[in-house]
Amino acid sequence: MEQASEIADMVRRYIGNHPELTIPVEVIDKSVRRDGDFWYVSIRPGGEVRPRPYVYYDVLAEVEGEIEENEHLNIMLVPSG
Amino acid sequence: MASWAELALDNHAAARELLGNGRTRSSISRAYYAAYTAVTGQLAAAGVQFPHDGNNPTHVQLPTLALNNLHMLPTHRRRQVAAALRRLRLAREAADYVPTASIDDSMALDSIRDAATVMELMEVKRGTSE
Repeated sequence: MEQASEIADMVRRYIGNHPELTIPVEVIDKSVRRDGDFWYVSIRPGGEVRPRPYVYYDVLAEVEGEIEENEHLNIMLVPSG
Repeated sequence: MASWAELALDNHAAARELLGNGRTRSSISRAYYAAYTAVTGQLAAAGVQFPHDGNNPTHVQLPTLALNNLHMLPTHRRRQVAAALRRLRLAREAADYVPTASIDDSMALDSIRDAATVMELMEVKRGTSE
């Protein structure tokens, strides 16, 4: 059984594997919670997402998919401000 | 009574109109629902049961349901649909719930294009009756 801190670290590691993200992304440790089969993890960009904001969400979607495929865990990244 | 395909078409038209009217955040939200309704229609047609005897899937379940049940598509296309649903959902949540999020017209355009791709894969087009 994974702990919230392990989930947060895993999300950080997978996000770190995406150099196309040109801004830091903060994983909010205290936000991590489990509801049924899903882990919810709030994340916030560490700056303006430019020039094309959709790239940021594309990477986050890839991270969710990669964790599901590789770790067999359902992660919902939740955009936060 | 409307079909899921008609809901998808209406949502997509609304997304385009809202962008044209400068309602960028609402446009992104409608684009997500265009994809959501298009995929839900195909899942319902495939006989997928939604939780709690519901009419529709939860947002969190939808990508996985698409991946596991849209057997009329090859695996790489199912993955494409699941990835698009995730992108669109993340963008919608930022648009709807995060006032400080960087939102611009390019993001709405990308969302509208993503939704259009999903609708095409779900064979949602004008005149679709189901």
